[in-house]
Amino acid sequence: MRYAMAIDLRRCVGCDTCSIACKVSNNLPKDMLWLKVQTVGGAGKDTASGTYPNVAMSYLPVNCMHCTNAPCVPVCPTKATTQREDGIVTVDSSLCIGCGACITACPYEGVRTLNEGEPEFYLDFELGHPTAPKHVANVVEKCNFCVGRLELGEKPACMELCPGRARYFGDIDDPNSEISKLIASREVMRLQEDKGTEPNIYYLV
Amino acid sequence: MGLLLKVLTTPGEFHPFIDLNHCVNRKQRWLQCSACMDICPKQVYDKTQAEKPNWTECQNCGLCVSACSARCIAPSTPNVRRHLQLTKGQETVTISCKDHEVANSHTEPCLANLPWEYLAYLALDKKVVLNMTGCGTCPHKECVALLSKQLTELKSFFGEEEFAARIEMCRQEAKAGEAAQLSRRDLFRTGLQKTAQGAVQLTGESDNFISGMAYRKLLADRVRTIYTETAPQNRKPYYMHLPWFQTECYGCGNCAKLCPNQAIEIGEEVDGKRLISVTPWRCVGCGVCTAVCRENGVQGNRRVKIPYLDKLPMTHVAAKSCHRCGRPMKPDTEGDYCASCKQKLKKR
Repeated sequence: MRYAMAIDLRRCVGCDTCSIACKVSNNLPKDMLWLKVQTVGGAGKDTASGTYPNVAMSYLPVNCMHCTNAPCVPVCPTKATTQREDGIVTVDSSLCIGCGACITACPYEGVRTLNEGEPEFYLDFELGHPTAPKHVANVVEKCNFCVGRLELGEKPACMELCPGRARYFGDIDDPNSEISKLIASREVMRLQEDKGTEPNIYYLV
Repeated sequence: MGLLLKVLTTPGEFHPFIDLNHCVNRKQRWLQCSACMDICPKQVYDKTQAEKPNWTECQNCGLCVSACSARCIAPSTPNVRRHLQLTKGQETVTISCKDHEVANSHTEPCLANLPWEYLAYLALDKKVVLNMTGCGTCPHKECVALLSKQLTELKSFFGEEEFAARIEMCRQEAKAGEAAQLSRRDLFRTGLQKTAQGAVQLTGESDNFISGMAYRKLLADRVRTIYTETAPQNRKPYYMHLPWFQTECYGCGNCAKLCPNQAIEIGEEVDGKRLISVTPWRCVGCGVCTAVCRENGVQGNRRVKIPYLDKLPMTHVAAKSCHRCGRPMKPDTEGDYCASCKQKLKKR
């Protein structure tokens, strides 16, 4: 049993809906995103890469890769960061002391955020799913594949709302699952494979 | 009626009281401690220590108090009162367990339930005789192991010679109570009065909460008094096992944050150096600092010669701070900002 996610980059239109769905479902505080949609090549958000007339624009949604050899797990001083048996890397906010060792160890940028001080929210009532985590001061937070939703038999929040149907989620150890068949049938890419972390987010190119 | 209610509702009145916020297992997951579970004869303590212990089974023996590696279990008030009886009276204190009682001796359920800090405190002023007649044949191996651990700590604290002069372990029942008089008694005559005052203070605190560190505090206070009252040439050193900081340490402060008793203090950066200080009476040698250091900056405990048990500067380490958040970084980090701040600044 190992959860993995596949993102079809041909279908992704860079609308940021997954990012906002994640933010709302997990009741994330101000200035925090667990999932960011980056623009490939351009100088900023929604800018084309290349020089006129040879320009192109493509997007790359990046969240926690839930690596098989997660480098963030052994560096955690309190073992707050642990890998579950199904491959999901979670941060226990009651043990995390916000030392930032996992941020330094992670080869992917923008995956995790440190709550600096008491988290602030845009609204004064709680949003999102009933299983949304509590947000505590001075704690590192990141994508957890919506573990609360998975336990209730639902899919992660970013999957549900994707207008382009670009995301696939499932058990990669099961050869008959949709995601395993998709990865076998198409050309896939993983970010920074040379680091040996074996990420579990596959990009279908 | 009001008084009775107060007594009944005071934590730690008829059983030891565990402060789970200071428990090693609540601080981190690398080092899993099960000392209280292993020593308890009645399975009072929960496996994960996630829930409240089952106090209805508790016999109030007090073994968990001396077994706790983080000293987060506070002794119960009756036990404290009984222990403090030892500070009054004769120059020689004989302590025996309830199965091998002798004349003129103080009886405990087990010798191991006196924490070594308290034995050390007693031995500073008196001759302590431990009647260990039954220990060789005792069926409770955990208690014997705990007692030998306590005595090793005690021996290490005083050093071999001082230990032999202050503490006697007798194995024959007839011999108990006839131990030699302490020659240094004149030196500590004034101290004895202060001991009685300290006892009153300690029991006075029982209305609120006696911390598991109370005996250590008592020892530290006594050692400080002796240090100030003794002439410099007559001062005797003490030895304790304190965290051994290596050159890999850059003062990240994780050990200071996670230490159950706040023994470690890391100073501000001054000229690229940080001063690390340790308070020996707060350091219980639980090993959390070694377990949580991911840079091998603390490698176990080392026996250190100390003049008293108050805060001591240990070592200077190379330091570099993030220019935005001020947190310590590794000295070989590129740039002026830590990884977290780099990402936050990049977004803007």
